[in-house]
Amino acid sequence: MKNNFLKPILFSVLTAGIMASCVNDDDYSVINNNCVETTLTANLPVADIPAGSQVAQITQDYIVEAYVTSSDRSGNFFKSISFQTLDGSRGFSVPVDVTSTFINFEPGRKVFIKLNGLYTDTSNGVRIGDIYLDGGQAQVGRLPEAKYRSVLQRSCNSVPENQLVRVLTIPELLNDANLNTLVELQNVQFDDTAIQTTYYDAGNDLGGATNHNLVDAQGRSVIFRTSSFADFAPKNVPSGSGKVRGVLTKFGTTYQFIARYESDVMLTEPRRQSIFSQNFESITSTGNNQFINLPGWTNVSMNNGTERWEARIFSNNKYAQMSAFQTNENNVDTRLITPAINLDNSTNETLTFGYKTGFANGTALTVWYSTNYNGAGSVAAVNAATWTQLPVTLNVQDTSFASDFYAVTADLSGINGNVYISFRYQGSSSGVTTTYQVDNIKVIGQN
Amino acid sequence: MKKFAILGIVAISGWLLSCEEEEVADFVRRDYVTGTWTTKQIGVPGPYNNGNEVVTQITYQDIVNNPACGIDNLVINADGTYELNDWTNTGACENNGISGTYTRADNRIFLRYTDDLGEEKQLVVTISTLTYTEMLVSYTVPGTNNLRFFRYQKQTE
Repeated sequence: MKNNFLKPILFSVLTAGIMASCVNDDDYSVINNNCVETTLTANLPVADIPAGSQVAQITQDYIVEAYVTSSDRSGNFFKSISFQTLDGSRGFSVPVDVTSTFINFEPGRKVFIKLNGLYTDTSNGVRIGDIYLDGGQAQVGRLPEAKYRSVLQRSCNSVPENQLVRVLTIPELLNDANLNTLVELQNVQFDDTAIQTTYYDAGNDLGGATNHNLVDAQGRSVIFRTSSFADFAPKNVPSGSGKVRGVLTKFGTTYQFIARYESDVMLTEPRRQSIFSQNFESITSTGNNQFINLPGWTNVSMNNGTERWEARIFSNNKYAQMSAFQTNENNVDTRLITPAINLDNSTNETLTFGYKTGFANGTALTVWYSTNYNGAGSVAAVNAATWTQLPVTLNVQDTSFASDFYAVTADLSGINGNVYISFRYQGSSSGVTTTYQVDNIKVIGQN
Repeated sequence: MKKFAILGIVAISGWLLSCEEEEVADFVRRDYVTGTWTTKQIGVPGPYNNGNEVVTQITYQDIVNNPACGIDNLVINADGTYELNDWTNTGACENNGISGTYTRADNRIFLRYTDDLGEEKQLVVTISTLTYTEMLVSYTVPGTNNLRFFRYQKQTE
């Protein structure tokens, strides 16, 4: 009887002792209760932060206000907080010797930063921090914790992150002005190699993280970097397409897009697949009068001329080239037409290709499609088909060939059945003779 | 019964020990900063291409004091006053230093001084390295935009 009575009491006392011990009221949610607003007022626009390529100290009583864009909640950011202006026109980072900064400095939080005595440079974007001496070199380093608390003054105000985020395309994104700002990329997906693996892949480790590529419908890409410490690091890279939100950073000359949490990756749409692709690399003979003669392709002079699209090579890259220069033809109309591309089993198709011009003296290239061409390759067959011009912008008029091909995109989503794409060159040896180079012709759609 | 006694002791000690405040021993922090610090080297930053990028490289030079003048040093007194002595000799010895009161916060020393125009100013000195005998600091020289790095050695009593 005694035993039965004492046991539960002792057990309860023991349990209560353990449960109640050392509770220190740690609350890791975002602190908002009883917030006392800082008395600081910004007196310097972020755009005017004095930062250059060399480390310098700020000696004025400057205070800037900015909004947090990064978060170390999931471990993909570490000891660095990114900030931007409300309109996203400027961003900067503050390296800190502190972890779990997201508790006080979560995305959207307005923060005042006392700059006097701090150091700046523009290494991989504007940085504000302490001085760090590494041998004989000086750089902006992490703020020690005590300094971090006095320098970064959290406002009681925050804005929804949708108010901070800007939707940009990949080419728009890749600009120093966007560093440390919050950006959303739409209609993107991970490239084919990435979807075979996990966000962090130990077999593809670069400085403790893995770089995958996010690509858009035009094939343009940006590095997506995931730390081995990110809580989503071991998860499979999603294969779908859609939106990805993150903060742009830079390492050396390479831009890196960094998601803060797994939920930043919103690839919920079907994956875009390649329906057709031609990069001309299979052609064996290139050069003057080496006319393109690929299976299923049409390469025809509509006015019985001799000049047609040639296969050319430069810097180990093969492409199609056409010019009316020295053809002695006054009415050049040459068509390079793809084989039939079937669009019945896909949606949201886009045509992409790259082009360059040289010796430009006018526009000569237009792009057309037909759904009733029979692919016979003759002038008569081309003339018998109905051709519709695609609304692509080909306004580059370089006299010297650019180092990279200009990317062009056309929407094919309203077209069904078999489609033929025609690259039509119209010029004259006595008129427009601009040389055009075309490469990497692709049709991509969602299944 | 023994079992209950043990359980009871464990429970009571858990209870008693659970909310114990961390005891702080009587500890007198050694004041590393106060004292007379002789300026041994000055470092001038400049751009340096390391093959990958342009970095900020510091070139240090030894300070050679003119025997006819005073010694370049930083005197930090425990009473909150300081002297930063910077002697030059252009025909006559001249001290371009500053003096006044200071405060310390984190790794910074805030030196307050009055400039030649009678304006109250503050120089923020950042301590990068501090031992009892050596201190490495950086600050922007008053009246200029020149960031400089200084290596000091504590003058022994």
